[in-house]
Amino acid sequence: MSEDLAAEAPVPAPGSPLSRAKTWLARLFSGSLLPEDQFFFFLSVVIGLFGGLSVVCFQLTISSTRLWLLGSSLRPPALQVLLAPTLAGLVVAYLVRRFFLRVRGSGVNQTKAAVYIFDGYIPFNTVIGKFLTCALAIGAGHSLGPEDPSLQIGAGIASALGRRMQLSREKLRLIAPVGAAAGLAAAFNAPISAVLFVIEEVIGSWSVGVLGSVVVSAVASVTVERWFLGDAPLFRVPVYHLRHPVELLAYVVLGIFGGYFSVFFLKLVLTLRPRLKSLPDWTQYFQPAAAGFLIGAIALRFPQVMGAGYDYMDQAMHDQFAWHLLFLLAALKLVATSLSFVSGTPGGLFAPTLFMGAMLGGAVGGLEHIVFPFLSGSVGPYALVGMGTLFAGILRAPMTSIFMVIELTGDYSVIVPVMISNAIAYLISRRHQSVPFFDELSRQDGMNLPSMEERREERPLRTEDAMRRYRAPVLSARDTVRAARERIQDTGEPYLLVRGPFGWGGLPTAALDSGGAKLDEDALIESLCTHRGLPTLHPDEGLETALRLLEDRPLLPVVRRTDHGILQGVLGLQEILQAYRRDEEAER
Amino acid sequence: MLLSLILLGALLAVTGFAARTFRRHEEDLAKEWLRRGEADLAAGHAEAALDALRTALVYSKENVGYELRLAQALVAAGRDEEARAHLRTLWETEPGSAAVNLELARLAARRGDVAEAMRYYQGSIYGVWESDGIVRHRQTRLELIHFLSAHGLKPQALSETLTFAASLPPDPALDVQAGDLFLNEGIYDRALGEYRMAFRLDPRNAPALAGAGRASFEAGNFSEAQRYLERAMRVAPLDASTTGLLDLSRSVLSLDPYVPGLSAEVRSQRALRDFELAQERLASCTPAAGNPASAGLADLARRAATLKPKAKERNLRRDMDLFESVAGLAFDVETEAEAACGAGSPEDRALALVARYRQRGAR
Repeated sequence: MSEDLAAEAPVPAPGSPLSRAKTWLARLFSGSLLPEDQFFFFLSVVIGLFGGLSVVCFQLTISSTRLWLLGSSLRPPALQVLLAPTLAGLVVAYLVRRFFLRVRGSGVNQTKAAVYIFDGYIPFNTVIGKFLTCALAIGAGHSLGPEDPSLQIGAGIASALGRRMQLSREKLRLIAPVGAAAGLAAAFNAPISAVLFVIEEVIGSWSVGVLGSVVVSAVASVTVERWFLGDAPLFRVPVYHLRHPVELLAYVVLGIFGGYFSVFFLKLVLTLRPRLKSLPDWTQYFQPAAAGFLIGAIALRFPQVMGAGYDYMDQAMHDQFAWHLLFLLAALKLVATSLSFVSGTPGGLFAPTLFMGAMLGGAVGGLEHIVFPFLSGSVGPYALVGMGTLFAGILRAPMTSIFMVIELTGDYSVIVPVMISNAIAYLISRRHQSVPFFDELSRQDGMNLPSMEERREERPLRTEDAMRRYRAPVLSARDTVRAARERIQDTGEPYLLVRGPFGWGGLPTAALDSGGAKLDEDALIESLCTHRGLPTLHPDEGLETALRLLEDRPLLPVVRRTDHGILQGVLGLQEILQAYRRDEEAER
Repeated sequence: MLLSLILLGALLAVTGFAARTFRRHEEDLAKEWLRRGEADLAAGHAEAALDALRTALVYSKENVGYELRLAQALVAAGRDEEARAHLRTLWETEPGSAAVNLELARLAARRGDVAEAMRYYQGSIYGVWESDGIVRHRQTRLELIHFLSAHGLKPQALSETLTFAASLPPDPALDVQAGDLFLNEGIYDRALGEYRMAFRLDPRNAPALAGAGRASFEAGNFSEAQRYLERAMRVAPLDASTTGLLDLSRSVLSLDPYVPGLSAEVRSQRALRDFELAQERLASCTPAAGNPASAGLADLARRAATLKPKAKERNLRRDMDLFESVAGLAFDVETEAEAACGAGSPEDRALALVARYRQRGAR
């Protein structure tokens, strides 16, 4: 009976439109219809959508957890304040130790490790673990933020999708940053900052191959996030007008304060973290709970230190705290965040960094107003600039720190103070903490990930650093052997350059030497050229390019960009090696 | 890929449902905290109200109404600077909000910053209210007029009052309000016009009748004032000051010898009565030595003593010049005495009023 039915079922004839459509769809969905580059781009949109939706769910879960554990009041009852982070710490520690070992920490390093060590592989259970443990910890009041976990969640989802689509190893390695940008963009509601951060901290270069995908995925993600959670910026910006250029000095002071505050935080975390990690294994189950209890104790009097604290940052920006309270909150948040982070509680540092920055900025601004009353009326702009300052000082992503302030607030007016203050804090932080925070964390975890800061500062060697003066005159292709021999006498140049209708050419000096054989003295040099149409180099070109062009040629001419006939020097393998050697010695 | 897209669709549906549910829950929480904030504010617990309103804002971030309520609570708690910073931020995003402008204007007024207050009051008047726009704009303009009057900015206040009156709907209460404003500004004819408009719409409108009486009185039209005030009294009992005004009007009308239509006999009797009052006033008003008025009063006393023997009803009826001299002297005495010794008895005050208006009329 069933066979009869099967026989009667309509089967599209091979070559029919229906059959062709089915085949086309099958190829489209398997990714074989498009070249991998195009499919990767298309997949970036899907990753962005997944990333955005996941982050929306993540944010909702954190908010719901907070309501469930702490209630809706900004000042929850004392018992809840003490118990919620403590018990959540216990549960989180158990989950992390038993099921999700890779979810410790913020998530930025783990994503970098996926790119540089594991070929873009992030186990999906890390995504689940990060989602659950961070939602519980942050919702219960641990002093951590949802942004860096969102970055890892996005990267994890992208990695899983990439594996499922059987992307090549090269593309799989690139897909984690694409997802990371999606996650971060949705968490911050700031696509530009997310793209910049991923480029500054995860990829480390403006690689054309991945930049488009990162941007597309961030945009798709933010679109989804705004659709569900609204498009209002995270903060309402205080009015800012620069009254007098002297006022910028106040931001210099803020930069100095922010720089040293960042250094103190970095040293504290980087000192305490390995010590707590080295304690007996069983203590790891209780460290997040202990941290939670201490945070709860602080929160009995200052509930502002719990969770991400965005609402309080907004209040700080609108003059709603006295300067000394702002300073106290910055200090207490430093303690609370250090406790949460070093105890191994999963969660991010972006939000706490911004919180500390807003409070410190407001405090410094308030204090400066007392000392110099002619400064502009509100402390709000100082809080705003303070956020970027600490972001630059702690997370060491200078470009992101500037654009983030603009994007989070939707206001451009404060750009100059932000640039001044961020630059100072960044330089102070570098001066006192040579290894960037995320790099040091990965070293503590036994991974030697490439430092993006060092990579940014690497100065590539150029042709001009290696080229030498050409000691002989340039021969003409129409010169005779006799004339050429006269011209090059005693120059000691082993290879002779020739200009002719073929452009640049060359021959070994030894070719002019008869070597016992009879050489036609009236023969043209052109007939002796061993190389014709030599590629030329320009002084600003990198040595990598030079090496590629050099191949087996002994020398290449270095010419002016404006006139290829004017020789500026020559470059050979020997010169390149010497240049690298000199550079190495100089670094030492 | 197909599976991924199906998963994406499912995730989209779940997220949509979760987001909607959570948003509804947040809206409920926001309303609940707003209610608590309002209750705390009403009970005078400003700090608790602030906490509650801030919490409401956490759950309804872009709600300008809540923001405004918080700013008002900050004002109520005496935290003007915080409120101002808060409102300035709101103003940056909602510069056309009449409510935000009004709150900023009130803060500026409290601070005594007249220019800023006027700027924000104007912003509020030409701004947008969420509901009852016309009524609220009118109330704001009224508030501005009071503010301008209180700061002695008469021309600006008058200009706003004229705009206020020009845009009124047919409403007796509003006409009375406009009449009161004109009365305050000293524009008695416009005030009378507004009051008349009011009792034309509502003939038994006591405040309008009383206002018309007051305006007529101030304009020196005492008979009309008496008429309006008596009509007002028939509609509803008058307050003490209006009753005093009615008594004064009656006194004026009974003392004024120049009221048209009086017989020569009554006119002379009144002039004599005024002369007697003036003499009593001279006797009771003795300014301190060195007071510049004392010399004038002494001169008036001498003139009175000279006139006294001739001041008889019969003489006054026959001699118009004597009548003028007697009445004129009475008026001069009351005017000088009021300046030197302040207001006297009700009759003295009435006579002083007659003197003032007759002198004004003569000019």
